[in-house]
Amino acid sequence: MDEHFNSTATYLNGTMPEPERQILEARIEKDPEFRNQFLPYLMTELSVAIAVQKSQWARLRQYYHPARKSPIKIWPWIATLAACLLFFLLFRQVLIETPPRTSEELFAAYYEPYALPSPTRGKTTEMRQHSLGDRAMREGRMEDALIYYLASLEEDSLGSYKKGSIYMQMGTAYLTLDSLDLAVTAFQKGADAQSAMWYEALTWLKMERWNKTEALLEEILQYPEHYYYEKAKKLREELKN
Amino acid sequence: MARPFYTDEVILAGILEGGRQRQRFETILYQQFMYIAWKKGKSFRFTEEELGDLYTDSIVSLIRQIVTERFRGDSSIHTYLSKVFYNKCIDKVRKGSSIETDSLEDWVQIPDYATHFLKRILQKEEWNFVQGLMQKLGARCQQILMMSSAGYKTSEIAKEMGFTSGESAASQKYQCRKKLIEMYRKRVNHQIGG
Repeated sequence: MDEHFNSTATYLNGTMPEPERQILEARIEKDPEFRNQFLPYLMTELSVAIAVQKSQWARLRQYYHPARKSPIKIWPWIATLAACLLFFLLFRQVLIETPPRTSEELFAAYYEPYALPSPTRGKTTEMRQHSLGDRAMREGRMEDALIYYLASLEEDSLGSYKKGSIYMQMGTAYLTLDSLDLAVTAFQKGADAQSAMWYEALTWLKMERWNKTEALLEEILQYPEHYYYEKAKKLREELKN
Repeated sequence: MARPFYTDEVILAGILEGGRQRQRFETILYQQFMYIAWKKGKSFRFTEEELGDLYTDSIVSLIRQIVTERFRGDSSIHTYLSKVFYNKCIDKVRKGSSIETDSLEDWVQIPDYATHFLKRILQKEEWNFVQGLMQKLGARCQQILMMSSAGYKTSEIAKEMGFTSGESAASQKYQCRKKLIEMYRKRVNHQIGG
């Protein structure tokens, strides 16, 4: 029995040498007595092998499961995102667009003091008066500065351009002191025409004289090469809003 | 928690080791490459049940190739299994709903020469009888013989089945085999007599 069993085992597991295998197969086919003795071993071993494989199939089959869907469902996220986008589009004015600024706020945003000339040592009294005015401006003593500037303007020896320049400084001083009418008058006499227009417009803005402001801004915008073109454009848009 | 990934070499070695290790690595192989069924199966209009059956057939076929050393890892398991699974799907499409699952090659992990020889000498009825022979044996005997055939050592069988020692498991295995042979002989004698 063991001999047949061993032959069956080596035959079925592929370890039986080729010549021996051929002899065995030939004997099974040609020798009925041997076949009757050997075949039960072969068949029963085969029967076990089949049962093993069937059991293996059934055991493995139970592990199969369909592909798992991702636990993160994408549709709720897309819906939420779309809702947020819609909300943003509907209420963007409230969310991002700042309310129109007041004239004070606009003035503060656009106003920069007119540049003072660099300090010089004057040779004459007039020159000294003017320089003293500039010094007082630098030190924030606006009233004193105006006194000096007014004194220097009374002198005939001062050139018209220099006078215009002093008016620009006086306009700045009046603006700082909130003497807005006087500031407008001073800027209107200012030498630097482009700056004078801009500062006058800002003064009108501070006075909340919208028409005057806009008229001056429109005038500035006639000249794309104007120093204050970009600022004027921006300010006009804000005023329109 | 993510399942660990096993390399082809580890899986092959585990299956070839036999016994408990083989069973463990068969399961690992099955689970690790299930994505092939999901991905490749998409192009066919099979139900999940059918995909499961086809994938299981492919894995059993691959295990047979590994055990009989026809698959030695020349190509990767992924490549080989993908091909096997794809071919099974094509077969299924061609043959419609009926896949031949009771042929000798489908159910036994034996060398090709043995398959060819047995096909030549076995009658259809005899083959059907052999397939069902084990079912006629008691459950305990079935398990012992199956464990032994799957490569379990007698000590492992003893532990699993509650025998006192490996020797008593071996003795029981011998008795079971004898019983099975007798059953086959009886059937043959009955046929001759009938």
